[in-house]
Amino acid sequence: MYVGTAKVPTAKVAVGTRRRRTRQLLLAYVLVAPAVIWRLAVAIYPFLTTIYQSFTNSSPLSGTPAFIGLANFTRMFQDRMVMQSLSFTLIFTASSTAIQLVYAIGIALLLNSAFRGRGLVRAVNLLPWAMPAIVIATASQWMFNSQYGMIDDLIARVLPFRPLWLGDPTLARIVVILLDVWKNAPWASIIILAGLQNIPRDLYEAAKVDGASAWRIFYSIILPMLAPLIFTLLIFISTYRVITFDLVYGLTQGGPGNATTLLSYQIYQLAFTGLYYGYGSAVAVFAFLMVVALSLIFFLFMRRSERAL
Amino acid sequence: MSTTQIDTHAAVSTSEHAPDARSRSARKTLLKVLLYVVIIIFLLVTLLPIYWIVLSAFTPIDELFTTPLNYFPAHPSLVNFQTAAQAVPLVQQFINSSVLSILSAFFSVVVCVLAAYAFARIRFPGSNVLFLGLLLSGYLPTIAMIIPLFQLFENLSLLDSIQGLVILLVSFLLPTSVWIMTSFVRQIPMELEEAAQIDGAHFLATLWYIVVPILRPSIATLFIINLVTSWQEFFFPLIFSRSDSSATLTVGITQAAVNPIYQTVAWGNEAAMGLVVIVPIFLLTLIFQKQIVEGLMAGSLKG
Amino acid sequence: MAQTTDTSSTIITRRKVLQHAGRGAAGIAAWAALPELLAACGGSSGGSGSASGGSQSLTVAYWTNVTPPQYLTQLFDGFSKKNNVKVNYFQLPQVFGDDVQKLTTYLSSGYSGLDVLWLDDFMTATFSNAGWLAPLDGVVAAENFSAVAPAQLKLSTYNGHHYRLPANSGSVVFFYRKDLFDKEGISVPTTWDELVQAGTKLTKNGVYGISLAGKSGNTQLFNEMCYWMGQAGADPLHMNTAGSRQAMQFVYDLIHKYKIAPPDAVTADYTSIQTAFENGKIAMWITWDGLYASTAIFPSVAKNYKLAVAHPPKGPANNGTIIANWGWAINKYSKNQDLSGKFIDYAASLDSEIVLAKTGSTPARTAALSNPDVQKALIQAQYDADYVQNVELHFRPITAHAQRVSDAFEQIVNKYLNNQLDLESAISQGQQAVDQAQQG
Repeated sequence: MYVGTAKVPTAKVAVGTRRRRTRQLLLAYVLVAPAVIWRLAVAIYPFLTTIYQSFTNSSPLSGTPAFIGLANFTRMFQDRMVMQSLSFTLIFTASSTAIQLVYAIGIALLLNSAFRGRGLVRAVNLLPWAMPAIVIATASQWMFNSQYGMIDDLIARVLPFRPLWLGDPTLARIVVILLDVWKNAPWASIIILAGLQNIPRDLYEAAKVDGASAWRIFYSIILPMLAPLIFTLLIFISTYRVITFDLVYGLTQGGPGNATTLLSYQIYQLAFTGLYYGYGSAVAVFAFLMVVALSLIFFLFMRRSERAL
Repeated sequence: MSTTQIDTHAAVSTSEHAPDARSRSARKTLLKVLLYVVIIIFLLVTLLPIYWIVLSAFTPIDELFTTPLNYFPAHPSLVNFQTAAQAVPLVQQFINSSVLSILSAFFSVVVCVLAAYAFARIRFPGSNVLFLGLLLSGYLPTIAMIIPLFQLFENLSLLDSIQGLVILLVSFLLPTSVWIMTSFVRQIPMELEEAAQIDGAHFLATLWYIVVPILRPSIATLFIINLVTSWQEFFFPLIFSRSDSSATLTVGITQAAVNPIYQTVAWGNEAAMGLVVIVPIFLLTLIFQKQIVEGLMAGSLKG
Repeated sequence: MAQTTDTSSTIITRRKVLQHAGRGAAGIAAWAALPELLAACGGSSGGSGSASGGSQSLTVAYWTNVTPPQYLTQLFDGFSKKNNVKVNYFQLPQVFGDDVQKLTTYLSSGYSGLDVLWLDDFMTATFSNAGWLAPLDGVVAAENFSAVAPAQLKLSTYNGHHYRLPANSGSVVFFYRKDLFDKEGISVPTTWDELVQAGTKLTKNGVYGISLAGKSGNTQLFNEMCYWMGQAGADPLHMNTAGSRQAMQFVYDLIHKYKIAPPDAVTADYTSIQTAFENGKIAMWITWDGLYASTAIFPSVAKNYKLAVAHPPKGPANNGTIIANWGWAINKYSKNQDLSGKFIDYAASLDSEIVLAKTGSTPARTAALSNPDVQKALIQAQYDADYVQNVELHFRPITAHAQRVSDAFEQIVNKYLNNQLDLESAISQGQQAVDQAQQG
């Protein structure tokens, strides 16, 4: 039976004996073991290798790798290309996250409404995200082509010019951001949708009976109930923006110039075409630390606001 | 049975206060129209690139890039699909993609439900560290891990196999899956579980018989998410597959994008393959929509 | 709708545990049997061929985009039968970037499952200097090397060893749309100035005189500039020279001053240019010779235009062009190096090159180029032969750090062509980047 959604403070282990508590601890470890072991087994070696290499000048083109301490990291901060790529990554992360989250909430609310054909629209919603990134990337190269592209074709019918979407550095960045939003918002939207569906029905009904408007319901009921989920999504979306790769690889190859070179693409260029294993690993470690810092900040913020409640 | 959704865009009450009835119904109609306008705009935005892909797939290459643009193919044809089918072992790749996606989604969901339940319901030493660690472990740019992972999998003889790819994909899905599932479990009020425990139910039984049914829509959602994520995985199958036994449809996309001799990309073929990749997923999600709604009703907590 | 909590079902019974365990075991068994299951379901594979033979097997990594690859299969079958060996065809990814990435990953991990590799100039330079290729001297018959023009071996030889046997040669060739030229009544340009004049006459109504592959990141811009700089007596490694400046300024002017190249040239790559060219939007295209054969395979596309070839218009220093090779190499970690050598002997023989010519690959063997069967199969062979006689041929300045140089160079030049850097900044930044790229 429901008694609202108030969490009863933890007397979880209501009738606890020592043995029961130990058994419960054991159970906890057994339950998390598959996930932890699976993840560890696969990720530990690449992690350690990358971290180790970031302190060396390892490269197949340079003979035996030597330990060079933090030299790669200082080099990174003096490297114009890497710094430019870092700056765009920050811009990209902030804008794509913000737009994506807002858009995803909007989609979720829309898909939560009642209308005919809703099931079909929900399935259509997932299409951008389900389509492999390489196909979208090649499709976009053509769509944003100033001579043969659908976008400029439509624009030219109304306005007297054809923007060079992928040639102008700023426009190219906008294209990358918008495509990233378009492609990834569905993922967030169905998670928010699931969260919306977990909101108890009687809360809505109570509000309706009180005569609350739709906006009020959104603001006072939906948003607070979804807040933890949205915050979690905020962490996910922003951190995964930092390490976005596929879209740039397929669409602009970091261009024009290096205007759309995100950090992961920069790492790819350094490690795969440049064969700078040591240096590339250092940039990867740096990206990792950045993301860790970002999510820790979010995490602490979330903890503090939870305590405040 | 009352509706299980709220219509946030329509007028709220159907009160019987007569004087405002007409204006209220007018407002209701207006909001309804607004809703459908929003739906149409949403569909246009979502489908524009998809439409371009569909258009390209059914247009022969020499009619594809004309100016002005043809929004409907002058001579729709299946020639791109035929070329793709010749270049690529479609059936084998379809099987590989399906097996890979279903198994990856399945294992990732099972493993993360177990872990999420523990993280959300049991306080144990190290839980924060493990929880955070799982999440943070997903943050190293994948591109940096390709070569070490390749070496690792080669040493384990897991290259060029679907099992190897499943193990790999599940491990990439775990950080986000565990986090999402944990927050879903935390959303569930604990009363039912406590009631069951007072009745003497075992912890695992509580999980299986009470929590999981409530979680069913979330599990279904996560399963679909992970299924689709695995379905479109491109890089690892590309690099790790040496032969058709582990090549997936996404690898087939690069194989189908073939232009004789020259280093150019045959967009029509690539678009055709893209559709082949996405149609099964689209159908699947259409079917799954009903499952979610049914799951919601069955696990409903009213009453 | 109430949720029933049937307390009787909450009890874990031994029967239930066994049920679950049984299902789990069945699952694991099915999991382990997966490969056989998949093989049974899959049936035949269309994309990769393997000729059956004895117990020894050879894996050949080849980059081809012919559908279906019957000539390649024919080649492999021939070797397989002769030596009673199984030949596995390892198809490399279509996109050049993916190709490089895949081979880099495999070779840098010391992977022994690949034996023979089909490599271009960039990969040969990089992989041999990274120590991933086995020297071919003594493994591949010396006759093969002498059958190829000595100049062709330049980018196959590093540190005094041959690491690759060229089996394919290509040159950048001056293509033009004869139909567009005839319509305007102009003759083919023979100098840079005439090029500008012809282009100006041709540029109208959405048609542009000439196209340039300006996109960075694919080595295509690097190739483009190698051509123009070569005609001014310079090359990308020496940006700080008069010739370099001249060439860069000229290319810039084609886009911005004379406006005979499309404004989106900085985003153009071979794919988009080929489309524009075949749609009559570009009148001249200076690019790899394979284009001709590609149009011959797409007759429905080519029916609308007449493609013609001429000598490159002369630049300040010469009327030269650039050439490139693909060829056979051996993976250092291969366990079948002798057999690989035998395969290369076989694949580089005259007969084999004739077969490969049918896949559109211009042979490197001098005798093959003038062979009538090859010329019949390969339209470009005849004008390649003409170029060898009459046009100065330059190699691209490809060194051990070629990929790094190309990336660094392209980014700066792309910015310059896109009006984000002036010429002097581009030269100084570019030279600095190129120098640093070669340091390692």
